[in-house]
Amino acid sequence: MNDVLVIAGKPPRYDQARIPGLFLIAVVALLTACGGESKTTFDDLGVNRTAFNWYLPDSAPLPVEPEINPMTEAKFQLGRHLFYDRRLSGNGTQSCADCHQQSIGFTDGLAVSVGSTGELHPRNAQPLLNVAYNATLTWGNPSLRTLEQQILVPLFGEFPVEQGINDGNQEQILERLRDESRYQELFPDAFPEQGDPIDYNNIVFALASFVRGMVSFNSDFDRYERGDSSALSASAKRGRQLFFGEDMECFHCHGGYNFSDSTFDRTQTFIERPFHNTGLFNINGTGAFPENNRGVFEVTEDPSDMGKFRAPTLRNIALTAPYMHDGSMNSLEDVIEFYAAGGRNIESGPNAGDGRFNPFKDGFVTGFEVTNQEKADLIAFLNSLTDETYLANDRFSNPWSTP
Amino acid sequence: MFRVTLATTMAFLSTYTLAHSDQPFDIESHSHTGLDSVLSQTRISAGLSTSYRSDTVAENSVWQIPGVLMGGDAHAPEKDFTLDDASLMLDWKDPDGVFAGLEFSKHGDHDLELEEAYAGMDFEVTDHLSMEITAGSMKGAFSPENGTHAYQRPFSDNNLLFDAFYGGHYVDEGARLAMSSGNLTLGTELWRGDQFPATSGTGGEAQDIYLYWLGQSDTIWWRLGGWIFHSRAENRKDDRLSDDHQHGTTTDTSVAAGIEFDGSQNAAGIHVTLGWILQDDWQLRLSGEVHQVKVDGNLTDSTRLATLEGRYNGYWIQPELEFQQHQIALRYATLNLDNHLIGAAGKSLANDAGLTDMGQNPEWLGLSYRYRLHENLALRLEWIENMTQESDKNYGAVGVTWGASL
Ligand code: HEC
Ligand code: HEC
Repeated sequence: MNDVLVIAGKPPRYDQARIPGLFLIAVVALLTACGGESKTTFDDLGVNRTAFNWYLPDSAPLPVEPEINPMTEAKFQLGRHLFYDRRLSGNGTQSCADCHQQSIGFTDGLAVSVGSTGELHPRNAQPLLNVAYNATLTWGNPSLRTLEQQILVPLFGEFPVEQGINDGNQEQILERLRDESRYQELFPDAFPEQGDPIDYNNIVFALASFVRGMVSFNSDFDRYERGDSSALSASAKRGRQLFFGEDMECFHCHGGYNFSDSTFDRTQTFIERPFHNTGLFNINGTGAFPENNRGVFEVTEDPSDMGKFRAPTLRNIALTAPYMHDGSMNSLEDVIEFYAAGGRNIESGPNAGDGRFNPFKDGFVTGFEVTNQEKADLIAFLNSLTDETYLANDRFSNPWSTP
Repeated sequence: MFRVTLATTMAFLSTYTLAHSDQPFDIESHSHTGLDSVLSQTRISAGLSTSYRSDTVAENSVWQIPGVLMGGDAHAPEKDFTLDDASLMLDWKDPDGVFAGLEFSKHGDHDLELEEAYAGMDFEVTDHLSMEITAGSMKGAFSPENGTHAYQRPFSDNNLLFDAFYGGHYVDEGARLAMSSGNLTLGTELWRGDQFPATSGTGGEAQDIYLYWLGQSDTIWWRLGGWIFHSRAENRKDDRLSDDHQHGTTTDTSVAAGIEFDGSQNAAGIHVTLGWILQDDWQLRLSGEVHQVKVDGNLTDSTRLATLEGRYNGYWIQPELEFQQHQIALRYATLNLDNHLIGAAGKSLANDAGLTDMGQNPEWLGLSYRYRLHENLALRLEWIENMTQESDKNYGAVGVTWGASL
């Protein structure tokens, strides 16, 4: 007991007994000085400034608005009319809304889409919800980064033809629009101080504004995350644990508030644009995917990009069957079994090959054991991602049906 | 007679058994007692504390006080029986002033670890000045509270301020130089930075400097002092989120686990212990600390960045009354946590890292009664009001503490 000896061995030559008292008073004074409640404050440096009402809950970050095409309500409303207007196609038979129907989460319910002239699209129509948060657009294209770029594809694309606008018919289509009395107001409202605002640049900007404004965070899952613990059933809660657990690994690729690791918003400084090969194919054991659907490889021609696609959002997933870029899976149960197997083994036909051994397959798709109960729980969770209010929201519905 | 009681009190306060966890005063004791021969042998001491708690604070997740980045060894008290702490200490000292120590500890459900392993020497510089140099892995000596074990203090819960600012307690590899003159001790410690709030490596480091004065007059004795602690961290993640202490997988913990802090934490504190001998068998002690902490740096994850300015302060105060075998203690601790985040990602990162305020200051209030069954063994009853989370938790605990020189 060293201290004992020190103190005991030393005469009390201190006459400073008052000092600790004074010290104590000083400390008490200090204590009373640190008043007030704890507070966290923010300076967002102006990034959240917007002229548009996004109708988002506080917890959701705002999507990025491109400087060349900032959001306005007028552009959004014009875009909404164009989205639902079949006159915006070569033969006047197809609008965006034909492949992106509100009642089924803005998809078309087909395995692969059919263009206005009957051509088959190699891919499944993507759901439109929170697209504004996608770091890249479409199933697997690292170079398509803005809606303004992407929307040119369905309008003018030739491989395949979707809305079929081309050099031969584009003037005629503009004439159709100029004849529409609503557009005579909507275009100048959206693009004031332009002599003749009805042109393709403005059409694309307006459509992009509408699609960008199609955001919502109102599923049972969102309500649960915002604190309503009764918003999820017991089964869905178990499914949530599975989804975010290290056995099934789903959240590594379908993580974050938009259920995709390829998410971008105003809070982000660094953008990630990941793509993954999930082992759907492995034609002849070479790792190849079918000719017309090779994902990022089609753009980069880098062999390691074979079969890589963007992890899509799983919001509204219960409504958007069939699944995957080629619409090759009919139900969520099929999808879960596919992940449980760690890939897809195709035994015969032109695409035969065991996707489980695809050399480019992502390390997070390794397979897992799953019971029927767990499957049901995971599906209950995926069902909780459906945003019913979005499907019924008038802001996104067909404006032509109301006078 | 009085002197002896006082001495016992001091010894009790500093720990039941060990001087090394009480470094500032230990130093001069070697040089002034002339009893080195007694000390020049190996001593073994040990202690443990185990408690049953009626509730837990951080259910299914990692201990997070809203408003401050945490890490290291800061763990929430858990429900049921827990081994709060068990330690075995070996101390060796030879007559020339060379000494070494080892401490094996087990906290909660951590594995047994070598918490301290150090060696050093002390020597007289002049008649009035002695010096001690120590190096190895050790607990920071900047505050006596940093080194305490659950079996030594009135409460099984760790000190709220140390959980918030020093990862539970600061233990690291480093070197200490301490000078003592009379009852004053001035020390400085240089750390590798392996422990929260620092990180090791090029961008990380930690240092501290402290000054203590141990004094006494008729019926009062005191220990007054303070410290400054500086640390830097580079790419610091909350490793509690990724290690075996993650009890639940939720979106929150997986997101929080990816957040890194780069920057500095500058802290200062004042320590006071006052003891009164009231009558022969009555003793009153009052101890407390005021902490001030400044955190400046960047928070990032794979896609987001924000600048964090944290201005924190807090204090704890603990009156204790001892009469024969009975010891009663009350402790109140509180934090004031102000954060300012600059940048686009401020709000979302604050949210994910647990920096959003809960509209009130975190507080902790505890009442403890200990009954000494035997010289080394005590029964402990506690009542805690833990107001450090959105929803307050009140819990009781029963436990035993044991500490002895073997
Ligand atoms: C023929 C059916 C069809 C039409 C018409 C159509 N789309 Fe699509 N849409 C698709 C398909 C198929 C994809 C996936 C394309 C791909 O991966 O290459 C898609 C993808 C998209 C995407 C990307 C979504 C994402 O998550 O990255 C957006 C945005 C989009 N369409 C908007 C529109 C707009 C706006 C229009 C009208 C100008 C439109 N689409 C017309 C079928 C169609
Ligand atoms: C390695 C990343 C990764 C992991 C892990 C992963 N996914 Fe996916 N997921 C993807 C990609 C990429 C696609 C699109 C694949 C394609 O179409 O080729 C996809 C598609 C899907 C689809 C179809 C979406 C649609 O709109 O058609 C569902 C449903 C799905 N995943 C659910 C899950 C579930 C459930 C898990 C966990 C068991 C999981 N995913 C794990 C990357 C991943």
